[in-house]
Amino acid sequence: MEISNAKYTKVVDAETNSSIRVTIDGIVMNVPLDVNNTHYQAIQEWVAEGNTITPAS
Amino acid sequence: MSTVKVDNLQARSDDVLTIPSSLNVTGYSANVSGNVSVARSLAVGYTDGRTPQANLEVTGNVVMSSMSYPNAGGLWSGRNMAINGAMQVAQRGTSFTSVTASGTFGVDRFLYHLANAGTWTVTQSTDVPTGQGFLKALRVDCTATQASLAAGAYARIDHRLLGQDLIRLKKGTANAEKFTVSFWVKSNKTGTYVLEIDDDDNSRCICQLYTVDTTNTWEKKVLTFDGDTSGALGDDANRSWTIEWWFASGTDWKGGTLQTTWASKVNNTRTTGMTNNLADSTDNDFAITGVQFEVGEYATPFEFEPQAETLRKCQRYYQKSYAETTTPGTSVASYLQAKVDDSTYNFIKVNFSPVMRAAPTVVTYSTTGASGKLRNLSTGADIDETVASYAEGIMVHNASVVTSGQNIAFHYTAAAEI
Repeated sequence: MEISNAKYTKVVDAETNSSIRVTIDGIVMNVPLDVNNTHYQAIQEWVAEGNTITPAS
Repeated sequence: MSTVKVDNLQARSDDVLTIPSSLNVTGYSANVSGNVSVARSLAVGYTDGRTPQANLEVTGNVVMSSMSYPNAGGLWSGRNMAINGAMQVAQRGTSFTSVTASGTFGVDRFLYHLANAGTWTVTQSTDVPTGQGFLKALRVDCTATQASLAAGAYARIDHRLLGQDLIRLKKGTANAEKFTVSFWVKSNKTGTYVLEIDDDDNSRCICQLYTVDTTNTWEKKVLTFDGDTSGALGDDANRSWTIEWWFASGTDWKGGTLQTTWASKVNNTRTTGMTNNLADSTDNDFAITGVQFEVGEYATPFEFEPQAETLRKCQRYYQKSYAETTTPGTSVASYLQAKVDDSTYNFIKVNFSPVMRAAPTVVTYSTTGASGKLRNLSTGADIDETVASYAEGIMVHNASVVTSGQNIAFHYTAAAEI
């Protein structure tokens, strides 16, 4: 997977991160913060490689 | 008519007692410990008219028209634990070109798993076994080669299943059931391939070799595996099981003795004996259909099911707002639409049906087909969104300022693959 432009988003309220808006293989996706989601697992591996997720605006 | 009464009736020269016309048993039972072969018909329990008076009890397997029906599992409907085995459902599209890495579902539930093993086209094909009732197959075609594979390279098709759907296997118990995987396969390249079964919860596996005997010819393969008395599967909605059709593998995956009994997974025992590298020529292709995974040591006839039923099963892992045959990202005339009545709290909620196995990754599409966008129909512009997803649905919020009264339109896909 080619991962880029990962950024937390807050949808439900202004305090809690809801998802990660990220580009994977050229497609803009919204990935839930769920350890059982395979895209979230891939993002965690990407972070472990030294990449960072931008905080929500 | 005369009557001969005997205590035992025994064949003289072998174990077969041949009765040229008919045998009528008017008492209560006929006990046969061997096989019963009837040239025309076997009527049981009919003593007057057509009212059954007794049962036919079979403790072995029942063979009808050369098809064996199991005595384990006990299910006449719902026997097939594989999903979309007839390759009928392809929600993401029917053709994917230039595939060089994992992630492509040429049909739902069948993942092309690939690393450093050439470039491929993955399609839902209409080339199927003749006269078997199938209309679709999953096919991969090599379009750029990798003749010399790196150690970690591989190419295979994965079918992944949830532990909660495999309870009938009784895995990890003393009563673990044997199971059988049957499928049709076709390749231009004859030779030896591997089918691997993975227990993903306990990192265990079992493998078998099979051969493609004739080039470019559909062949049915039936592989039976022992049950595993170790390692129970998780009773949850996460990946517990993978069926893997290997057709290319580097040295990391071979060299040890092929793991033909259940054991902890060791990578170099997973494809030993598979001689083929299907990535070595652009002439190469590989196709499967009619995948059936069932309890017992016999392959029963393929269990065809209505398209709607297969689609519903697939939607637990992937669903979309488009029509079933519309490829996501296509610009279409119809879409989901909402009128914004508050410029700040403009949420659009969509409920899934069926509920997905977990919170999915969501991609929204503008009516133009742009991903990560909503369409503001009132201004004619694509706008950014944010989405919160849950197993039961999504909440979509436009990230740009939208004036009250404006109309928003979009489509979405939701993926909760395992």
